[in-house]
Amino acid sequence: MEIKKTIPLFLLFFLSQVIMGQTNNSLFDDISSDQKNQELLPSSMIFTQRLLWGEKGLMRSTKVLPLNLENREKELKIRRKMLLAHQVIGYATLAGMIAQGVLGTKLYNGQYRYKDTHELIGNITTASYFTGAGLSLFAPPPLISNKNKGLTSIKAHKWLATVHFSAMIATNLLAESEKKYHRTAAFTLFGSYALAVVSFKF
Amino acid sequence: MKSRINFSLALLLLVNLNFGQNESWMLNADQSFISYDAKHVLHAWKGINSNVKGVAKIEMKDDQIKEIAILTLVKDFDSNNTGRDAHALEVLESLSFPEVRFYADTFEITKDSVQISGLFNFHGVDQKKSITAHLENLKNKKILTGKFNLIPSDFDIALPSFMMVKMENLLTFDFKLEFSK
Repeated sequence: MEIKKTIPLFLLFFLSQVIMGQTNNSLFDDISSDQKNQELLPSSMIFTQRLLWGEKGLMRSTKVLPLNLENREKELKIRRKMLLAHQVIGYATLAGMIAQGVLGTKLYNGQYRYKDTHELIGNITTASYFTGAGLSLFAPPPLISNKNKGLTSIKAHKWLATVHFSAMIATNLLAESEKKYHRTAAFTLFGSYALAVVSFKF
Repeated sequence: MKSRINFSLALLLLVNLNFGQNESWMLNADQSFISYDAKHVLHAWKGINSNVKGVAKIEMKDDQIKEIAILTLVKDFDSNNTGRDAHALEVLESLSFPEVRFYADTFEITKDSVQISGLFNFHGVDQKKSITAHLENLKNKKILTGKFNLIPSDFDIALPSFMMVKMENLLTFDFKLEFSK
């Protein structure tokens, strides 16, 4: 009987010990973030990415990669690989453009023996250029879209891309026509492309 | 006999509650931040997180910090370059490991500095770490400021590369944590 009456006090003592001995997890419970969940897709993305990877994109509608956390993790790994390849191919393309600048100038000065080489390297450079562009345009989107105002390196990289993309098409279209225009387009291409490479900051 | 037992237990309970009484002081997010400095052979950059959450347990008896828990989200670090921040979220696998946590319950105070020993949870990996901080004791307020280093590879983070060169395997953090009653 006496023991029964002391039970509530024992329980209280035990409870106080438990409260005092709160674990670090309970401390984190006090500050747990309600904003923990990251949005799976950025608020905006380029149309080529939306076409493939958007909420209603091809990858979702064909059920190849339904939109969920696990698949987005996979996509981001694919994205990293694609952008790394974009980087490597980009340097190779720039080297090709430099070679084309040298060969093109020789041709312009009447050294026609370089014509075939100029054409060959031109085709290789064009192919690598569009491969690199494709890797960037069709890569899965990042997790966040642009949040910085003003000119940033990524914005400069994208704006310059529209310039060199147009210049690349013009250079190829004008290859067989007036050499002066072909040359102007080619130098615009090289200048904007080189700037896009240099402007991109890690 | 019964009343003696009851009296002893009640006294023990009272003493236990009295001596173990702690207060929770919340982190003042407006006055707190954690920033990191990182380096690549071509340049260095800084990212700041001003959305830090935290709580400190203060023992009322001696007005000393007994425990702290700090929690912040990887996505809240802003380096003023969206491309870089997006890349960081990929490298840090922020969908699977959105949080960085630090819990400490060992504090060695010497004058105005304090040696804090605790556990980091970053990228899903636990690492023990000892940090030296400057401690400012104000009325109803405690401010911790300091600096510490973390090695990304210790947390199984694959270092990103640019121009085929990996970034330096070191992150230097600065922090200011203001707890108020």
